[in-house]
Amino acid sequence: MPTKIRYLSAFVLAAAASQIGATDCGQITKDPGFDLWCGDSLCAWTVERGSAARVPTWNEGDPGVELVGEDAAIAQLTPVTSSDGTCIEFDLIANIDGNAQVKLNVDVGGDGSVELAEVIPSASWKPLSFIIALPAPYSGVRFELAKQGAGNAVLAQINAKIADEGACAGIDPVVASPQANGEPCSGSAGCASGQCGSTALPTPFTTGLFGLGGVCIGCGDGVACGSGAVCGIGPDSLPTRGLPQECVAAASVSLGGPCASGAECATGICFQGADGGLGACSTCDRDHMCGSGEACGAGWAQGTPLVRPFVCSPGAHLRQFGEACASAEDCASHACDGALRSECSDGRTCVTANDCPSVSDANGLHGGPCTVGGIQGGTCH
Amino acid sequence: MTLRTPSLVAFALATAVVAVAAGPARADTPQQPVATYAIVVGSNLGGPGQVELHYAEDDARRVGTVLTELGGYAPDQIDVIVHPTPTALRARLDELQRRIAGDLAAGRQSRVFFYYSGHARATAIDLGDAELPLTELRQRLFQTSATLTVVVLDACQSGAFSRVKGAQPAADFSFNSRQHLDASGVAVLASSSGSELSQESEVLKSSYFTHHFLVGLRGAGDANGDGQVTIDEAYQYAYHQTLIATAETAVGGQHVTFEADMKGHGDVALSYPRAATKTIELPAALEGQSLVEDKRSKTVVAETYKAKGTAVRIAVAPGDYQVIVRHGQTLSRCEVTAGGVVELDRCATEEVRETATKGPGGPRFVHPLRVEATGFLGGERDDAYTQNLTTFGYGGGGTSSGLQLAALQRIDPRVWVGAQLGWTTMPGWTHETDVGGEQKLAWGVTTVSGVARGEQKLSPTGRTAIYAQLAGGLGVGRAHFTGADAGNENSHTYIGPSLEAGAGLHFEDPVHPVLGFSIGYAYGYAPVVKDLIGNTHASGGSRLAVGLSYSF
Repeated sequence: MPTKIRYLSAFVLAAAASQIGATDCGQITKDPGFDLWCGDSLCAWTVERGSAARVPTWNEGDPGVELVGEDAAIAQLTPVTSSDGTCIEFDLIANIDGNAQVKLNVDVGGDGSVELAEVIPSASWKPLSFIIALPAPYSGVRFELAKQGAGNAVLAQINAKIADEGACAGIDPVVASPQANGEPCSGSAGCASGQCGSTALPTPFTTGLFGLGGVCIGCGDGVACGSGAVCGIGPDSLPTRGLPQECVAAASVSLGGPCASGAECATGICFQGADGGLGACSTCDRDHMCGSGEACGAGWAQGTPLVRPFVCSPGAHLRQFGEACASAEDCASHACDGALRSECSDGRTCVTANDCPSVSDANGLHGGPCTVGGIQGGTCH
Repeated sequence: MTLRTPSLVAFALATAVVAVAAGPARADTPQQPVATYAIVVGSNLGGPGQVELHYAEDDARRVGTVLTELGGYAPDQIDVIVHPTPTALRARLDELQRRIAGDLAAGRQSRVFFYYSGHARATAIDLGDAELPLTELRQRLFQTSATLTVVVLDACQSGAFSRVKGAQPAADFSFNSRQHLDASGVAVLASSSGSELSQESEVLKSSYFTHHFLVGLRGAGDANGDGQVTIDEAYQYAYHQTLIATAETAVGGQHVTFEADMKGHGDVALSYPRAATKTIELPAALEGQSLVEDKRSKTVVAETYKAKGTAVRIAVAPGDYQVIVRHGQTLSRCEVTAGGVVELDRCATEEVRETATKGPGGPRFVHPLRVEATGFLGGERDDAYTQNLTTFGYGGGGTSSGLQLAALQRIDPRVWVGAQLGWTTMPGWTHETDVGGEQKLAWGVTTVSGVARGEQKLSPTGRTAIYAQLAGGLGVGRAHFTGADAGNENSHTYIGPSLEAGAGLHFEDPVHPVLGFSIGYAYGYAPVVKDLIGNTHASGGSRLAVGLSYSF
């Protein structure tokens, strides 16, 4: 088992390191040309109000997006961090009628609070550019394009990128609202929890000597939780944040769920790496060996996500009705009732790739893989 | 006026008066002691209502040269006067009279040659705004005591044609001169009769009459081959050559006339080409219209129709010459050095390239049609359309290429008109999308244009011409867009104007003159490709054009 544990830890580090500088050659928005459409909806942009329509620009084959409705908005949470830079150039091509007002809203951290709003002037297919100075540290910026009014507003080639710091000379940085747990911080005053510390849980940014300082946490580093609660992993939030380290109910995580300590798990066992970081609630580990000659092994198949539960005699069909299981092959009945859990590459729970920290590859900047792991909280049927 | 090419160059007629006073004239080399005097006058200046001539003064200088080389006149005996005032001319004539009187007193015979080229009216020669009455000129010329006086006047009636020498169309200059110069021993040679007019030749860069008069003196007029050209031979030669040449001009044929009253004296020799240091011999076997071109100065020294059977020697200055002989539809180009003989079997022979004649329906040309295929290459124009592509993240641009096919018809020696079909492929633009695919714009323009081209040979007999042309018509633009995602394609066709201007050089193949090669610059402008947001791309720009042509 030590080998597997080390392997697990190395994987965690690699996954975290891959998120450093989450840009595509300096470009920080996904799908700048609105090339990705999931049916009639944008894939990389979220329609927050009204609707968005695919409309021609200079050629009908090269679309832009029209904000439809008197109050319409689209937004995208970009994975940029202050490691990438604190000066951002936001470009777009706009065709905006005089009786429509379009604003570029900047939400540092993506918590929903707009720290900067810039009016995009009326234009007829003119390229426009904004320079934005951001406060360090930060992780993630949500850009919102919001239209008010009856006039037409078509936007295209939206492209935010890291600019030279010199471009922001003389521009006051945006004043960010207090950071939530899992966001980077340089001091406790910047955290909503009042606690800026360190965590072993994965973050999509680096911390420490060469990173962004600390991470806002709700517990640990000398801050204890109340009765019936333990310091563990809070509910997953934005993919631009780290897994939040905060107080959670004791023994509340079922078999296969993410954990930072055995106290979080209903099984009382959290199979973790040697660094004590993210683990999975399990039925055995090296300190809790299986009885009757059964072996402790990975409950989910090899090649599946990073964080896997360990169970006794996985796949041996030894578990009887009502016993915990991680897969159907654990049960004598070949039936294991439970919910399928999918994970991002850093071990956090996900439903779609947009829930995962972004990666940059030949397809540009997009959400990281969200892979089905196995059954969480299963019992043999 | 339609001018023929050098191989069949047209001639215009000038008025000439040759007056020969009685006196000994030997068909031999000049005998001494005979005092010889020549006053050669040229004046380009026109009087009121007259245009300025181009070559009258140059003709006077050429006459002086031939007299020196072949006429037996020493350079210091020739007084070449250009654009003189009447007062100055009177002074020269007075001085002439005094010198002849002195010769007479010393027992010497004297010979006088007077030449005038310029404007004239029925009663006077025009020297700019001033004039010298003909009666006075006659009086001053024929009241001298010269043994022999030769007067050549290259002037004629003015008319409706530009740069025509002379004055009142009603008067016959030579006739009037003859009547008023009625003196014993006087002979009159007139270049025109009635109201005939005289012209200068742009090709010959001379008056037609003076050119042929001098060619005759250089030897082409030596009909009997005795090595000297008499007044009668010079007249016969000038008469025929001038009439042949001017028969097809817009002004019409002109007839050189000659009257002489020698009072028993024999032929008077005007030049002695045999005595020239250098000649070019047109051999007996040579037949056809022959043109002698000085290769260094690119000027036509002589042009004559050479009949078969008798050799002709043309006196020339030392140097290299090209003799072009046209016989039927065959053109021979012969390189010869002064002192040499044209060797026909060593001449380059080709089919006649072109000629023009006047007739019903306008000029006709040999090889009046030309088809051309031209390839071109050049940077495509950068404008709002392409700048917008850049704004939308596309990259590309660069060099356009294409092909043009043209069919041209010659309507004038220097003008071609026709139609042109062109295909231009513009450089594609591409955009790498953020989803991994590529968007492409492929586009091109097809043009259908009318073409007008001016073409001027760099030398009268050369194979290289400079051209300039304009083309205008319709352009059909095509744009094909291919998106990154399957099935995302569209095509559009647009129509708009198309303009092109160009200039360059056209070369004829020396072996097969029906084939040609051209290289030049062209600037195209065809605003035909549009996008959906109001930008129009004007296809074109600066291009290098290289073409091949075939004439038939």
